[in-house]
Amino acid sequence: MAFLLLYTIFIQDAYAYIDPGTGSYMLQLLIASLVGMLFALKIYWLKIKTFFLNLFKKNGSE
Amino acid sequence: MGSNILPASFRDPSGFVFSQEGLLYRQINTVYRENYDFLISSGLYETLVKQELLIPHEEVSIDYRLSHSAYKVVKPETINFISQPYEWCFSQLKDAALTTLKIQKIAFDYKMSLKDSSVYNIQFRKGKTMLIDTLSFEKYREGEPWVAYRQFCQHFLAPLSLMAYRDVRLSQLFRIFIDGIPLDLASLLLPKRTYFSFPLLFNIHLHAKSQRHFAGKAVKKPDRKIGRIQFLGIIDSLETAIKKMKWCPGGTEWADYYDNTNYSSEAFQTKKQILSDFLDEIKPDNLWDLGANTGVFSRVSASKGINTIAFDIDPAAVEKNYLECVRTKSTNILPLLLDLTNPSPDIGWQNQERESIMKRGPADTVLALALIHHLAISNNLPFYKIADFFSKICKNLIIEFVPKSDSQVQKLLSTREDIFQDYKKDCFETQFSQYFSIKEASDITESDRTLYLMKKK
Repeated sequence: MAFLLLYTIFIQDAYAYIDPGTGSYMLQLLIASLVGMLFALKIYWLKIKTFFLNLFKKNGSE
Repeated sequence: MGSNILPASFRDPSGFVFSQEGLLYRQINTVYRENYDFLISSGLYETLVKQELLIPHEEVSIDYRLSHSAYKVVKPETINFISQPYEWCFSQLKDAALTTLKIQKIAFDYKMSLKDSSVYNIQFRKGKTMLIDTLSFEKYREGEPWVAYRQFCQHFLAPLSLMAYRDVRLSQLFRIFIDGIPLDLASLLLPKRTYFSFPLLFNIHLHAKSQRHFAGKAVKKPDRKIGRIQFLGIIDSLETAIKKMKWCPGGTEWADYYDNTNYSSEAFQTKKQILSDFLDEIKPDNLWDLGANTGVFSRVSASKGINTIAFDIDPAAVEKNYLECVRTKSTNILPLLLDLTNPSPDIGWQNQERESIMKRGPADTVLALALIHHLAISNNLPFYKIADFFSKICKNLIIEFVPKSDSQVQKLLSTREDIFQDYKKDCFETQFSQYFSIKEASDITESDRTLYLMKKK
């Protein structure tokens, strides 16, 4: 019975040989939007920072 | 099937590692064909090998296969010594974690992803951390979360955060938990202040709660998908947490050891010279330095091109040694943590998955400098038991005898009764002679100590 129960959990994931874990799977879905947004902000911030650093570098070398 | 499939190679149906006539091969099964071909054709394999992040291999004839499920057989480059994560210092585990995430990020650029992130898949080769499992990649499935996320948190994030924020000795939990540290245990042991770190709050504390909440529940797979930026956000949050973690070895009893010995600098140089002469005489292929401290004498061996493993019981000494190896880009010293009085055992399924230190030997030569008094006096071991142990792990032994008159031995005896009537040079020689032939004995000038070169009988 326990086996049947386990088997019904994400039966589609038969190709994954390690158990991703239901709790771990659901948590990723839960935090995805927030960490994705933070990551996007980080990338944009780095781009802005690099832009200004390059600008000052150019001005400094002139 | 032959019986020479490696005992740890059973989890992944994509293939397995086996040995034949002393050489290692990996059978890749037909079920993994699409992913293997994509790994090669996408250029990911070449990129990772060039960056020394993945073990290189060569394809060999299919005739080497062990079963009909084989698609290909490859011969990976061999690793000199397989080390276990419970033998690593903090920075070694941190480097292994960052290497795993770096590989995942590169794989993502090639539309692939790691399908597992076992700490045991990372090994040290020429001083650098590297993935040794070629079959760890799968095509990235758009919208799917990271399948190896749970494993990464248990194998890397939890032990590292426990080492950094609670106690470095908690790495030893690896010896009990073969699939990494359970997150509920990590969450319980971590200080409450870690709740204020977003990456640790999400990836450990909430992760543990989510695992508990869904434990044993049958849940229908949700329709919700995870976008690429969100996927990368998860990887980035793990990377940010790990990069922030630091462990600074404070003043341990060993940290300033070299300043506290009763060695004059001349005696120290003499010891190095005698060791160098002994090594020139025996020319070993490899050497285990037991009780290596921060690796001063291991470097004498490594400088001669000898593959050297520097074991010590003190996490601070191993950490210092490793950071020095990284700084000097040493390629043939591997510092490892080992308690000789309770060395790494065989663990895992049928006690065969992860080998004990004894099974990974014997070494060509063992170096045991300033060690005998710790074993004989601190651990009450008779000389014959120590000699017996050494005879099982090496062919040549370079060992230092430290007499009772030495200040280091006096220190050990200062708080206890001297019950060690046999702790004398002549008894040492007699009992070791049962297992070894004493080839040479050199007194170290300006000290009462003697350095011996012995050969196993």
